[in-house]
Formats: sequence, C-alpha cells, structure tokens
Amino acid sequence: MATQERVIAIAIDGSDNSRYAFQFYVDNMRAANDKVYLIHAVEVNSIIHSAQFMGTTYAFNKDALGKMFDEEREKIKHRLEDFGKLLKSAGIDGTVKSVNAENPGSGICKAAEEVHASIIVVGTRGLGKLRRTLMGSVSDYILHHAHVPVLVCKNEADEHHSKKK
Amino acid sequence: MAAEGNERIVLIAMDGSEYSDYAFEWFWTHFHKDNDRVILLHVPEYHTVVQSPMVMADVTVITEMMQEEERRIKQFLEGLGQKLKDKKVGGKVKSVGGNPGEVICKVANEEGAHLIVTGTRGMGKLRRTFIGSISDYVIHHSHVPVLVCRHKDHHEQQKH
Repeated sequence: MATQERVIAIAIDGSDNSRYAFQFYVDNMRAANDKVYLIHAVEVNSIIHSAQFMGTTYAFNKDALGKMFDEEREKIKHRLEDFGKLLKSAGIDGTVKSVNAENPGSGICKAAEEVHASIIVVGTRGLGKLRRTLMGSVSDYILHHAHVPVLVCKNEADEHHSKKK
Repeated sequence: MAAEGNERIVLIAMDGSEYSDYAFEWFWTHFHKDNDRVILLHVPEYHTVVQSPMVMADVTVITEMMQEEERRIKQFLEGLGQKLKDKKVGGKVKSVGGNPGEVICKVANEEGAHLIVTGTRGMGKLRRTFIGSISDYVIHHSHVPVLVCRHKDHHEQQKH
C-alpha cells in the first residue's frame, strides 16, 4: 500500500515536454500525501550564447548585458508564476524551486537530493532547437546521475516523430 | 489520460536479475495503486544456450540444454506468478521470445500499458555502463513513460 509520504521532484524548464511530464504525474501518479517540488533549472549560459547577445556589437556593454539579464529574469519569473498556477489549478500543494547551475541536469539532481525526493520526473526534451536526438541532454544527464529512480515521460509529439521512422 | 481512480496498466520487465527485482519492489513500495494491473514480462533468450562451445558436439546435448533452460524459465515464471499472488494484484505473467528491447515495447503497445518499469541493468556480466542496452533501448523507443529504477549499488559506484 503506497500510503507513505512520497517526495516527487518534477524537472521543468517551461517547455511543452516538461508540462507533459507534470500532467502525467497529475493524471497517473498522484497520491494524497505527496510532496511535490517543481524544480526549474536556470541556465545562465543560454543567455550569453543567445543570438541576441552574439549579434550585438556592444557585446561587452554593461548596460546591454544588464538589460538582457533583466529581461531573462522577468521571463523566468513569469514562468515560475505559471507553474505556481499550474500547481494551484491541479489542486496540488507543491513548491516551485529554481536552481542556478551551469549544467541544468546537475542542478536538478542536487535540488532533488536536497528535498529528499524519492523519484525524479522528467520530460524527454526541453527548449533546445535541434531535434537530432530522441532524448535531451538534461534528461539524459539526470538518467545517468540521479540517485533515485527516474520517470522519463515521452512527449506525445515525440511519439509521432519516432513513428515516422 | 487515466484519472486517479482509473485502472493503470503497468508493464514491468523482469529478467531474473537483482536489478529488475529491485525495480519491482521499488514500484510496489512507492508507486503502485490498488487498481493497477501489472504485467510481468519475461523475455527468455535461448541464444545463450546455443552459443556455448559444448553445443558443437552433439544434438542431444543441445536439446538437453534447451530443456534445462525451459525448466528454469518455467520456474522463474511461476515465481513471478507467485509474486503477483502474494501482493494480491491483478495482472499476468507473460513470456515472449525475441529481442528484449523490441519485445518489451511491442508488448507494452499490445497491452495498452500506461507505464513501463525497468531496472537499469540486467544479467550482463560487463558492468561498463550505468544503463544497460535494453533499458536504454526501451527509453528511446517506448511510446509511453518509462520508470527507470536505479539499483542501490549504483549509488556506491557513483560516490567518487
């Protein structure tokens, strides 16, 4: 009888994939006394490598850079608020945790350990534009480095992609 | 999408290794719900028998070895059936031959499984990777979510 309290860590990045993973948890896994943590990994490198940054001649202009970071911070704030809303509408008393890490995967694993998660739920791909692999680098990292079982949620859209083969 | 009260069909890949046993136990302790239907799938591999060097000698030797293998598999399947009985869970035990990764995905499809549960590694002797080839295959080819249960001893290995 799975009546003991479980701590569930769901890795999110704002992509549809992670939303699907969250939805799968809500629809199929959810139990009354779960403690849910939505763990969002902020990847600082992505800002610096973004086209916007590379395209500007004022690459090392403090103001331009500051502005980009502010915009990114706003975006992230909205994303976290959206996830807070998701939790509310699903009626889940969970926590949104945002971690900074050079490597999102390691950030998520570490955060999951901190909250003593008994399982990590992750989608297959995130925000990356290149769709060359069926698994993203973050889910791959988590799969290889997590100390607890990992639930890999294949996105339905990926399903069509793999069916085409 | 199954709501909380609906039946979930869960396929657990069992190959007799401690890894799949661990996956089953973990699933049971942390994950299962009362109205789950559990399918324990075993994919027997006969080619290991035929590859042994002794086989070159005699046809009767091959048949004996295969019969021995059949017996072991039958025992294993009965053990699995007993596991389900002990846990009082609805479900079945299936044994399907073929390429394990493909069989697992195919059966999951046929049975309409909502979830596949695997351990990280199986019976293989070479322990070079964190994830065995079969669980790796299943993760990449499954059409439904896959729960990969990392065995405890991996934790020790990773503490470097």
